[in-house]
Order: sequence, then structure tokens, then C-alpha cells
Amino acid sequence: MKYSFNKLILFISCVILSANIFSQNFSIKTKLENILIQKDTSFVKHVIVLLKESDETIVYPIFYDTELETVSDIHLYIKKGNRFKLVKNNIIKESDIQLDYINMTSKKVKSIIVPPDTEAKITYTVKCSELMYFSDLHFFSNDEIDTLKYQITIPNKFHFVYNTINKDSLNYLKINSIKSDSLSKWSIEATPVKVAPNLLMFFGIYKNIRGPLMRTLIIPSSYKDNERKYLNDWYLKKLNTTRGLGYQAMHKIDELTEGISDPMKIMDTLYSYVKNNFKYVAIEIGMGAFVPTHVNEVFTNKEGDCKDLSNFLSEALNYKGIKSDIALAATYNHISDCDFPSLSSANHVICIAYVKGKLIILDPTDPIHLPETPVQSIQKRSILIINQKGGEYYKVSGFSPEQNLINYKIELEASPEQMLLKGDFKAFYDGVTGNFLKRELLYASSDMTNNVLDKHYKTVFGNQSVSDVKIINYDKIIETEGLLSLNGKLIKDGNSRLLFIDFLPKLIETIDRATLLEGTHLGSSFSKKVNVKISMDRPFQKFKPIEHTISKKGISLFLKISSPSELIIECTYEFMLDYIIIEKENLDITNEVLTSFKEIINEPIIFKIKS
Amino acid sequence: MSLLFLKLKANKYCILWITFLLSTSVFANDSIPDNKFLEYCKKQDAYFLYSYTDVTYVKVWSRYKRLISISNKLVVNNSAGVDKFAFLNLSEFVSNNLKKIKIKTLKADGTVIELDSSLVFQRNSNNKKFGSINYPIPGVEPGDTIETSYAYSEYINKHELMDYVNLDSNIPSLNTEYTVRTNPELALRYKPYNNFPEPQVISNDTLTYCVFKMEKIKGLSENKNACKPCELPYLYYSLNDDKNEVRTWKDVYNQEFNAITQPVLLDSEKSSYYRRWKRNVIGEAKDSSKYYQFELLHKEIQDNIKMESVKVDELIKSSGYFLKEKHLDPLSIRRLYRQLLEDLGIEYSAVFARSKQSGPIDPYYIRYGEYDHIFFAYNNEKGSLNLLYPNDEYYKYQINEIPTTLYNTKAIIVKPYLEGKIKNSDKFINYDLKLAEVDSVNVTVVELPGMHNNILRQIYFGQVNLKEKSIFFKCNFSISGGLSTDLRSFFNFLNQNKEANDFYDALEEFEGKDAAIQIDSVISTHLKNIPPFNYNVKAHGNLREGLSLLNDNIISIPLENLIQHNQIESELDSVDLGYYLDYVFEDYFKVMLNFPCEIEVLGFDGNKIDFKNDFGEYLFDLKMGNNNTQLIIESNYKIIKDMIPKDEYKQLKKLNDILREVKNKRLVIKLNDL
Repeated sequence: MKYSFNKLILFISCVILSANIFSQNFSIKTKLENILIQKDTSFVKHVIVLLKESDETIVYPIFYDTELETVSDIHLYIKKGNRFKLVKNNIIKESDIQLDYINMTSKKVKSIIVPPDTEAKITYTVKCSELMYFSDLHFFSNDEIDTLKYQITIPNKFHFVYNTINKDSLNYLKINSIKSDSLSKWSIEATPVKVAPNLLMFFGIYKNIRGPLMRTLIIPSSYKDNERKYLNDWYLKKLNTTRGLGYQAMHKIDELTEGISDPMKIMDTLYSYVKNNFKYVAIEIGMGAFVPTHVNEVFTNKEGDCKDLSNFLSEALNYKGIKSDIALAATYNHISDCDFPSLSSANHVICIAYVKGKLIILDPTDPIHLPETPVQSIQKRSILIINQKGGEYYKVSGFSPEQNLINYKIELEASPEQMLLKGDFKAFYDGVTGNFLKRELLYASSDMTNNVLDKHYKTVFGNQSVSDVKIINYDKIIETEGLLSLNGKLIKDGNSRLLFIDFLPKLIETIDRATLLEGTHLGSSFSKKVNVKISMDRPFQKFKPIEHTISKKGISLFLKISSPSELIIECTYEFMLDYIIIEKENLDITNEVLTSFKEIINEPIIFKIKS
Repeated sequence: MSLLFLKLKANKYCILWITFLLSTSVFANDSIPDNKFLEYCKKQDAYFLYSYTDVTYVKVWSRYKRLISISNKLVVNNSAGVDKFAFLNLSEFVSNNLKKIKIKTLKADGTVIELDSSLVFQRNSNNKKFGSINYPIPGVEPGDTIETSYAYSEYINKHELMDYVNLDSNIPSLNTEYTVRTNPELALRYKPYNNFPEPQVISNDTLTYCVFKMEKIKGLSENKNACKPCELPYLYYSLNDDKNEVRTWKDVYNQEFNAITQPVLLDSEKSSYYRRWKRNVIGEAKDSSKYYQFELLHKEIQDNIKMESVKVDELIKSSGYFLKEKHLDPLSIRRLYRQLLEDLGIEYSAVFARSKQSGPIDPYYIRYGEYDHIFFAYNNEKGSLNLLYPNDEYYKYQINEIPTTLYNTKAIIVKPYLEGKIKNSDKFINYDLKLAEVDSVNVTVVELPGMHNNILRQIYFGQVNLKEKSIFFKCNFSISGGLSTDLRSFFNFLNQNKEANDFYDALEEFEGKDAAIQIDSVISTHLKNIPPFNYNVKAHGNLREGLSLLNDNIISIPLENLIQHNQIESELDSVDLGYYLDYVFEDYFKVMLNFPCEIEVLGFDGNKIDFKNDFGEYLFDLKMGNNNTQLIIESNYKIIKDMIPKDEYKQLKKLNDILREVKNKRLVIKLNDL
């Protein structure tokens, strides 16, 4: 279930690309979904799509899950005069959905070929046996849709709850409901937002993902006003069928924790074991996309996705007497936060451990995560803890910029003849600021480590020559050091010298761009302190300190250039960034600071040599 | 169909000999001493204890059956190895032709977990066919061993009784074997290349058994410039039920050239338009030479007929139909070229070639279907050879322009021996659907030409405007040789493929590395249709980020923003395989900046860098001109060898480092007498 929105978009893109309809630009006059909730907790959707005339053949896709849904009665009509005429033997192709990060899925796509130069009508019926699967109504589309209508009929034994996100972007939304003795009818009409496909997501930039969406949940009337408990109990019931450690699993857990009595150490041991010995495998067949595999199967196969591994880890911790739950979560690239009880709210599952009165979040699918540090993908997001008490929302905190400190110390010496600057640097990454390096080094073989580091620090220092980069400490704090050689930064002009400081470490190391794009995930909020001391080869006339200060909401930069002595020039900067994702609201101010920094370091320090 | 005009007596018959170049065994992995090999393996993510491929050929009625058995044991050393290799990967073909499969995880503690293969294949049970399989192998932890064994079979035709064998892999292996077994009725021929070790052969009345084997094979990482058949051991083998029958170039011509070039006369729709079109294009040049007439027709095709992909419903359409519809496809253009050459009476030959990355062509051991480039050649009126490469879906080739991947590769020119004129009835595939057959051919081994002028030249004339802090540029770009072919074909591809274009746009936006000089308007473009196919663009532009005025009389321009070269990448510390480039090239950049006053450049003690090593050159020169009011910067990056051995890779790194150091510098220009 991890990163399902990401998957959804990529999934749609892949299908679209494979079906060669990516370049299609078809328009829909009306799309009507008539959704009938059945008393036996199944539901049926009758869909009618009115397509506008197109110059080219249209390939209309119907995505569905073969395990949970059946698609039937697909009919294509084309307009003859004022009437739609049924096309006999219309072509319907069916193909699998294949994605890199899902090993197996029961999702498929049926493609209906619509001839060009005519208006057309497509009708089809989708039946689904699992009511919980009815979890959202989309108000956005890659296609041009004039009117989107949903009509939902619900027997009175059920109650309909919903929550609409990002509805500000909708020009028109109308919701009506009528209730009779036996059922209630909801009519929802909207002019959906057209969302352009964003290929930048292939490069990890999640722009325009906050489309308007109604998250839905159908609950038995007995759970009215208690929808969170309903989802919690439904999920817990499913979880219970997947629990109960077998002898072999218990034996292994005992073996691993033998002689360890400190619960924190037991937790560390089991967490490391699952992270290092279980591979990430996603098999999403029907409700298997939401409900974990049995813990013993996960243990035997040493594989699973977020829900499988979190459920196993939670069960292992409970077995060792450490109270643990699992929680539904929404990662930074999911369309919504996990703050409404619907399956569409979540795309991730994590494990919660309660040790020494502390709630500790564990994510066994994040190989570099350390306990008691933030899980980067869900910082500042809500999670829904599934427990015996009816479920509980919890806001995940991240480290403050002060806790996430990057610290550089650079010492350089000017050589008299060649105007070279040579020296060394030390970099310290505290909090989770070194995680990006850990991720880069995770699968690098030992002979590739230096290559990764060299490449990184070349980028950090503006493509200058770095060498002998070593990792000094690789634990909670990452500490590196290396040699730096700068050519052409110190320029003679008679008795004056021009010193360019464009080699100062860039403000944001994780992104190799001068300015940032909307949708960029920075990993964490952080602060950065840089101190550069340059020893000159001969005394110079001290100059007045040069200072630059930029401070905006959530971002600040203070840069100072001074001459503490007649032989030393010192450059320091302190940078702070207190957000994780570049969004519309912070895009301009971030880029303003990055641009100002570039302008400052492009200006040389001009000073005179003492005669 | 018998083509009498092509019948020939035996005097021109090509006799081709199979040579078995068995050499002394020199292993590719000799850089790692034997006693340390296991130690080396244990430091990798995973390694093969053994990897065996066993291929059995049997005759079944008029066809043949190939049964392929794979068995190997893979030791997984770490989590990365688990993530990379603990998956069963089968192609769609293999999964649909599987005979048996057994996958086991041999745990370090001695227990065994077997993969339930019914789970692997159950999901597609509703489908008639399985898709490709990527299924996790259960229970694998670091330190475990995966034992894989499966077999699949396929029915093949006589001409498919052959295969390519290479035993290298990205995973190290203690022992890798490829065995071929068949009954003695099928004669086995093989030819090893690049010191592939000599096989062990057992042959008796009932069995021929051949073992190709290598031990202690180092795991190799590929790079995008690698050419495995250029340096790693490999072999080809083939089987034949007639021991005396060997494939000849005449067979290749009849089967592989005629099949894709012979025009069809099966559909009369618009077929008559062909003659009208030809007459109209030739016009008043009807009395000029046939070669000139062909050039006119070729130019008309290049200028006015667009290329599309092959459509099933146009497969049997005539040349006239395509010309009337003003489009051609990769098949119909071959038929049209042949029809035009024959109608004009130009004698042509077939050229069979292989991309450099596919390994060299072997003129003496001729195998079916291994020529990925088949095109025409003819002698022009001066008697020199013209190459005629057909347009593909995205690119139009000029006469004597060929894909760069064929530069300096060996090719075979096969010319049918003609006794008289070609009869009209022999020109086309008719309703009997028989291909023309020649009786004899002349065979010539040639080296296809490379290009000597693979040059990208960028020249900028800039006028510095101090008031507006901007530089206005007149630009002149020219590309020639292989660079012209590659760049034009790439941009044509992007122009015609929206998905690819959008992807590259997204990549460009993501990388955000815009050229410093912004082109505002293109003034003219011009392509010369003779080698080296010089493509020239004249344009106007501006320096994107303008000038940095440091104070009233000093300006600064980072060279990184100004100089942009197409470098051969050298990001890694070392490479396992050499770089095989299509061509050597030169990327020349020159900028002339005119100032409204006299200037002085600060900080450039050595204004000239002239670096050269065995594989490349870099020249940087900074000069003043026009009474010190003009600054002239030249930067020239050259790759002078098209093959860089892995051991010499550091020389490429050195070259790139020199360029990087120059680009790290800034121009600090002092304005005098302002």
C-alpha cells in the first residue's frame, strides 16, 4: 500500500503510455456514475460516459481490480442523427497493469476503441463485493470533463460519511440528499478540475497532486458518528486473522533477543532484523492491497510490503512484551493526509512501539531509519493508530531545524605563486540531514563509496576539485572530511586582490538545481552552519565586515565576511529552512533566497595587500 | 520464382569456408588471482557457485525442437544482493513454454524453502498467456543460497538451429557452462571469438555433446559505451542436418535482402502514379545521366515524402500508392529504392552490416538473421561506391549517409551476377508470392567509411552593452559528420514522438541546467546533402544571466556559464569494460566579445592551455584583439580515439578534469578608460 498515489499516477501514466493514448486529448461532455449500495455490503456502479467528437480514434480506459470487481455490459454507441446507435462487436482490449514496484497486482485495464469524427456514448457496469473499497470520488481528471455526476443510493441500514479535500480548486460542486423510509439518495455534481499529466513525477517531483477528492466511507447505522471506530474495528478484525506467531518465528525472535532485557534494545534488535533480513515485495491482489499477509508467511518468506513487515514487527514486539500497534499513514506524496477514516486516506502502514512511556514510530520499509528519529516520508502528517480502543489519530512530528543541523568547517591556505587555495573540509550531519547520503551509499559497493562521496562534494562545492573524501563517523551523526583545491578564485589586480567565494557549500545539498521546482521534497527541515577560514600568504588591509541577512517566513540566511586578522579572511553563513516540501506558498521565497545567495557568492571580496 | 537473368555459371560461385579459430585459453578474468577469487566473490552482493545452461536439439518431423535447461546456485551475500537477486525473472516467452521449474532457498541454517510455482503462475490463469514473471523467491536472507532449475522448450525452423553464447555476467561465477547436445545427424559448427576457451567435445554414434566452459568469471558492470563482443569471449554455433551444406552469401541475398526490398505487385490501387511521379520529378532532366536522375528522385523523397511506421493494411501496397499518399515506411522505402534503381538501370548491390555494439561481422561463418543493417550500394558515374541507406521512421538518410553505429565496421557487399537486363516479370513479387532468387553473387568485404569531420562548431560574436548589463550575440552553429547524423536524427525523433519529447522536456526542467546563452531567434538553417552533411544554423541570442558588474569598472563572467561542451562522461573512478565510440569528434567553441572600451583580463596568468593525451585534446586560449577592445576565447574539446580501453579510462578522466578546472574559472574583466 506504500506510496499508492505515486503508484496510481504512475500506473495511469504507464497504462496510458502503453495504450498509446498519452497523446490523446479527448473531451467528455458528461460522466455519470450511478452507485447502488447493496444490503449485502456489495455495491454496483452503472457508468455512462458521453464523449465529444474527436478527430482521432479514442482509446477509453476502464481500470478495475479483477479480484474485487467485475466489469460487464460494456456498450459503445455512436451518434447517428439525434440518436445514439449501438455498435455491435465493438473492440475491447484487456491488458495487465505492470509496475516496477508492485510485483503482482490484480489490476487490469479494459480499453474501448471509439472511432473518430463522431460523438459516442459508453456504458458499463462495475460490481464490487467489498464495500470498504468504495473509498473516494474523484473531482479531477486528465481528461476534459464538462459535468461529472455521482448518484449514490444507500439503504437505511447504512450511513454515508464523506470529507472533501482541496475543494477550493473546484468551480462548481453541488451535493444534495433525499432520505426515504428505506433508503437515502445522494446526488453530487461537479465540474471537475483538469489535471495535466506531470512527467516530473518520474523524477520525484510531485507537482499538482492535491486534486479535489471526496473521501468516502459507508458505515452501518450503528456506527453513526463513530466512523473512525468503524474503520479501526474493520481493520483490526482483518488484522486478527493475520496474527499468531508460529513456533519457528518465536524461536527466532527468542534467539535474537537472548540475554537482552532492556526493551529499547530488544526493539532495536528486532527492528534491525526485519529491516536487514526481509525484502520489500508488494503483491497487491484484491484486498491484499490493504490487509497484511499472515505473520508466519511473512516470516517464512522473509518478504512483504509495508503492511506485512509492520504487522510482523508489531507482533514480534508484542510477543517480547513490548506493546505495539500498527498505524495507517499517508506519505508526503499522497493526495491527502491520513485524517479521515477511509482507505483512500492512507498509502502506507507503519509500526508503533510503546517503550518506557514513549510512542516510537518504526518503518521497516525504510532501511536507513533509526528509532526515535523521524520517518522522513511521514513527517508532520497524521497517522491512524489501529488499536483496541477504537483507533486514535496521532500527529507525527519531525525534528526541528536546530536538531537537523549540517555543519561545515573549511580551512584553506593561499599559495603565493599560483593563487591557488588549498585545504580541507569537515562536514557533520546531525538529526536526519545525513539520510540522503545514507540512501546513496546504501547499495553502493565498497569500491563505489568514494565515487559517491567525491561526486557529492564536487556538487556541494560548485564543481571544485575535492579528493580523499572519507567517512569518519557513520551512525546517528554522519561526519566526513576531505581535501579541497580551488583554482582561479583568488585574482590579482595590482596591489588589490579579488577573492571569489562561489565555492561556499550550496544551501540545499539534496537538490542539484540553482532554484527549486514546486513539488520538490526536501527530506527534512534543517539548518546549516558554514565556517570558512582562508589564510592569506601575506598581510592585507583589514576590511569592514560584510553582512547579508535575509529572513522570510520559514527560511532565513545570515552571511558574514570578515577579516579577524591581517592574514585571515573568514566567511560564515547560517541558513535555516523550516519546511519539507516546496509548495506554491513557499516556492517564491525559497527561490528568492537561493538566488540572493548565488548573487552574494558571485561577488568577489576585494581587499588590498599591505605594502 | 526463377530469375533467368540472375542465373550464373559456377565461375563466380562463392565458396565460403568455416574456420575454427581455436586458440589457447586466455580468460577474461585473469586479473584476479585464482586463490583470491572466492574472497573477491564474498565481497560482492552475490555470486554463482555454478551456472549451467544445457541446450538440446532434436528433430521433430520437419521442424526442430530446442530444449533449454537452466540450473544455477547463487550465494547471496548481503541485503543489497537479496533486493537485487532474490527474484525469479522469466520472460514472457520462457514462462509460456516452461516444462519444469524448481526454485529453492537453501538457508544458512540448513533448512530448505521451496517456491510454490503454482503461486507464480496462478494469477494469469484467466489469460491464455502468461506475462513476464518477476516473482520474489521466498525466505532469502543474506548468507543464503538460491538454487534455480527450470527448463523450457521451443519449436524452431532449420535456419534457427544456431545461437550466440557468452558466459559473462554482472554476477561473478566460480563455474559457468553452456552445453549443446544433439544426435550426430545434426552437424555442429562453432566459432569462438576473443579467446573463448576451447570446448570439450564428446561424439559417438548416438550423441554429440559439446561443453563450453569458463571458470572464475569476474562480475562486470556495463557502461553505455561498452561493446561486450568487442572485448569479451563469445562464440557462435550452428547445426545443420547436411554436413556439407554451409550457408553462403547467395543464400543471405536471396532470403534476407530480397525479402525486404523486392517490390510487390499485388494491389493496383494508385500503382500507376509511380510513373507519373517519376516523370514529373525528373522533368527536363530526362536526358541527363541516370545517376543524376536518381539524385533528383531521392531529393524529392527526402524533401516531400514523410516517413511513418509500417501499417499492416499497407503491407502489399505499391510504390505508386505510397507516393500518391505522400508517405513511406521503412519497408516501402526499400522497395521504392530498389524499383527506382532497377528502372533507371543502375546496378546495385546489397550491403549487410552489423552495429558496432553487436560485434564484428564474420564473412566466413555466415549465420541467419544477424545483420541488423541491410541497405543498398551502387557505383556512381565516376565509378566510386555510393551507399544508399533507407530512411527510418524518424530519420532521413542522405546518399552516403549511414547510421553512426556502422562507422568503420566491416560489412559485406553482395552483388548479383547479371547476364542481361532484368525482366519486368522478375522485378516484382507477384501472386505466386515467390521471392526472386539469384544463382550467383560477387562478394566483397569492405570497411564502411567513418567520418573524419565529426565537428560541432559554435561561434559567437558578442557585443557588450554596459548600460543594460547584457551581451547580444550573433551565433553560428555548425555540425558535421557523425554529429550531424546523430543530432539531427535525435531532434527529428523528438519532433515526431510526443511522449519522448515530453519526457525530455520534463528531464530538462528537472535538471534545470539551461545553457547560459539564450537563443532568441533562428535566422537561417542549411543542410548540405553531401558528406560531411554540414548542418548550419545562424541565430541571435543573449547571455541568460547578463553580466555581473562587480563595481564601476570590473565585470565578471563565470566560464562555466559560457562554455558548453559535449563531453564523454567519466563520473566513475574506473570501468570494467572499455569505451567503444562510434566516432572521434571535435567540439569547438569560440566567443568574440566586443567592448565599448579597452579592457584588461585579470587573473589569467596562463591564458593558454594546450593539453593532449593518447585519447583526447583540450585547448583553451584567451586573447585580446582589436586594440584591447575585443576578447577572444577559444575552447576545443577533442576525442581522438574511438576506443578507450578500460585501463586507459583514467586518461579520459584527466581530460575531463582539465576542462572542469577551466570551466571553474571566471573571467574578471577590468574596463579601462570608461
